[in-house]
Amino acid sequence: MMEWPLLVASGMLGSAHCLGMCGPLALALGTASRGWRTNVLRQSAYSAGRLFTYVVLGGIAGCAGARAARGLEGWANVPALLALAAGGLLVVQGLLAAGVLRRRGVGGGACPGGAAFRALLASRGLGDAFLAGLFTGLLPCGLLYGMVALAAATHDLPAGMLTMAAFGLGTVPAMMAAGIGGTLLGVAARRHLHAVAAWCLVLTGCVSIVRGAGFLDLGTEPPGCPLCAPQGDAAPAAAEPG
Amino acid sequence: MLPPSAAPSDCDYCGLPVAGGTAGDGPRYCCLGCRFAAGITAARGDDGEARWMMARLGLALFFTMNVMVFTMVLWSAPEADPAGSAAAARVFYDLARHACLLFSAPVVLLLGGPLLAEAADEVRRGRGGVGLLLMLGVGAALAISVRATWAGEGHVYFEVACTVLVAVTLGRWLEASGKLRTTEALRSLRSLLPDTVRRVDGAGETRVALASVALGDMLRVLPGEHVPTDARIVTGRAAIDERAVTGESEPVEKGQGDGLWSGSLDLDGELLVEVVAPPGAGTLERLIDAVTDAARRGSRRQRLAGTIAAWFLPLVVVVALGSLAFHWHRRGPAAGVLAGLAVVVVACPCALGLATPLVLWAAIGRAARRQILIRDGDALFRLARARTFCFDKTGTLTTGSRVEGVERAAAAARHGLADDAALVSLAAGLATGSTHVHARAVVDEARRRGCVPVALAEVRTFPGRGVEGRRGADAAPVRLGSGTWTGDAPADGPCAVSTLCVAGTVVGRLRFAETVRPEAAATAAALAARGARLVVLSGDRRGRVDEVAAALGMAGEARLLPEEKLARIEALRGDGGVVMIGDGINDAPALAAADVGVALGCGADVSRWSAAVCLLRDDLSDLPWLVDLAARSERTVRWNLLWAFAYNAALVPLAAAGQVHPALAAAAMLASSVLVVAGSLRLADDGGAAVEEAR
Repeated sequence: MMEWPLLVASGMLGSAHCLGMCGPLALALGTASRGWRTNVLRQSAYSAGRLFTYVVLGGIAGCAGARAARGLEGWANVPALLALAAGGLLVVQGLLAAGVLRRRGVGGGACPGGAAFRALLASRGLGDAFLAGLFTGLLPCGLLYGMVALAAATHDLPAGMLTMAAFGLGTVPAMMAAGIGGTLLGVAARRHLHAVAAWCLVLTGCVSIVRGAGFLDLGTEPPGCPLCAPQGDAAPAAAEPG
Repeated sequence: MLPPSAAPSDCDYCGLPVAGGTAGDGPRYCCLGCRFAAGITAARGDDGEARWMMARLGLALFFTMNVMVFTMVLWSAPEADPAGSAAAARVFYDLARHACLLFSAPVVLLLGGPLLAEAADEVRRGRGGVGLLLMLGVGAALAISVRATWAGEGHVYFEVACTVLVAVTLGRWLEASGKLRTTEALRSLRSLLPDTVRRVDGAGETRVALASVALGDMLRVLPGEHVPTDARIVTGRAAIDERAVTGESEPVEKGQGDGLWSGSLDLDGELLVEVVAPPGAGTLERLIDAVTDAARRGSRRQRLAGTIAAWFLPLVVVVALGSLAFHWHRRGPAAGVLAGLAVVVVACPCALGLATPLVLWAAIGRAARRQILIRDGDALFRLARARTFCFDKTGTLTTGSRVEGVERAAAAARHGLADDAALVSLAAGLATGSTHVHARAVVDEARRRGCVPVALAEVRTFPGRGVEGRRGADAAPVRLGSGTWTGDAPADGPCAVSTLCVAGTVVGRLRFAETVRPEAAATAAALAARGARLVVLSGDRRGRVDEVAAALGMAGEARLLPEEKLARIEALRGDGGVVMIGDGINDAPALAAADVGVALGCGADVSRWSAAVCLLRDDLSDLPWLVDLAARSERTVRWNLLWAFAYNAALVPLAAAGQVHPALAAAAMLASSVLVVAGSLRLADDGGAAVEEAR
């Protein structure tokens, strides 16, 4: 399986790039809160909601990956192909964020669902904040789809859930910061963070591609991160299909 | 939260027509989403209610996710523990089954209600269909699952029931929100009218509902308020902003005796007004009704899609029941129910029925916000295909006109016209009855010279020719108009000339100077850049027409009588559609004959429009913007329809073959709805934004 620290880092830095879409939602949650303490609580509930959706999406992806791997066994090496696809998606997202690639047409078109749960964001209850987070997790996001593809590549229910949990946990600090402080960092610092985040995504994508390519080539799943120190002990026997 | 004038057969939430059935008691909704969304917005201002409906959906989503996790655990269990002891596996299965049951119960309680109401409504309207089948399918999946949980063996399908409930509600609700957003522009126009007014009677001033106002009532209108219905000023004076009705941005000063249009804004004076049109029959309401009617009537393509959808629905019911029977027989009841449910969920009639109306509403609303009124949905799509644009010259390509010279003929004195002022007075008497630019110039000239227009009887306008009346003093027929019509020698000079005749004798000529509209050149260039052929069709003399046409890079055809204009439009039609742009009243026949008639500054009287499209702002540069909007609408509709057909053609057979899990079908249906709604909303939000920015 992919090493977790890189996933957490991807989420953490990648979320700096996502703040454009989800930041205002967290901010709306913050402005509706009375006092600093309730805001922290509500932001936590909101993040918990997002995390819950991510974990379920990861589980669905892992389960679907497992089914596809079993169903197409002998036809195609599904996990390897999924790893390649996920890597490609993440690299594209990273390059888009870094400004190397240009988005065609108008990005982030009208999302009919976006304004829908404004009522929940504006309410004061913790439960409503959790539900708002639940919906936020379903908003369209390229980074999220890349990660879901990565979860599918694990072709395993728990591993898929863990992948998305690691990614989701990584997004918590930036979203909390956006929701609580609004702007804890200066413009220059944010721009730097944005650039680092973009290349971190590219790196995660490359790791996935190298792993996928290796898997496709060798026919056996590579044990760990090809860029890190050898981790022979990390090969989980349970993840092998069949 | 009612849409503009919901007719008896329209949805109470989004205002779109409800298929089948006649009006019954209580609210009517076109779909489950509108029913659900109406609940969210039922009590406007009641945030608690709106939040509770959203929370309901959110909670259902949360519990459904839990059900899915446990279901996936059930699916994955055999691989994780292939050699586990039978007893342990049994306990594990039982636990997971009960967890699924526990989490799906709240989903059914939270979302089952609207679906049940929808099904009951269908039965009441005598068109049992998709809602009923969905409810039966979900109910059957639940029943099989509860029985399996009870018995401790067999498969459970709680996730099917939950995902279908959540996806159907979420999808329909997204569609309903989309429909509401597309009709928002029209609603915002109507919101210019106040809900209550200040009625003044013998007892003093009371606040009453606008609807209770009757003809002849006296109302007080304060500065900053909108005029609630058509009225006449009894006392007071104020600057009035009539932008909403005429598109004119310059305020007009009005005083005692002047008429006011509903929806116009009193800028600075307190007015006492007398109601001259009952509420609902005011100018603004008639404008909005005209546009809303166009959107409601829809387009030919929409009706075609509606017809196909009307055939498609029974087909879906038959296919669903067929696959239910087939798979039940071959693979047991559970497989039958799943296959039937998958068919219904996949084909849940949305994309096909929504594809055109959403786009049409979005485009018509978007145009209305820019003071472009589209009275015919088909015209929008014809505009997208049109290749030839014909322009009237006077008043369309040229703006205004002024009298440059007055020339008296020798016979003038014989008919009692001793000097130029007398001639202008007589001409102005005829011209007051006409809205033609030359007529307006004559009236302006009379005012400038301080001449009082002569009172005339039996004044009649002959479109494209002139005005005729009868002088009071000697009952002599008087004509003001083109040389050919008045029997004058046609003079082909650089100036437009109107001839004045009394009893068939030419008594004088008025020479006019006109100026090309400032935005005409840019508009012509923009249209030419889009590959359009531009033609000037004018009744004016060749010299003037050629000059204007050449300056704008158009072809020019001069000396055309109205019926000749019709013939030219017919001749040009061979090459795609023809758009005629002209003055709303003088060019009425040509505007009606063209594939799309576009009238400039049609004024406030809707009943006199003969054009399908009206540029209220009297600004030609709205035309390229509109052409772009039309092209975008056409593309979006095509894409929507293509998607709807391809999606149904691909997935319905697969689902009927039992190859699509209902949960997957629900996801596909949701994605399909989002795609169609989002595409159409983009049109409503930023359609032609680029052009707008470029202005």
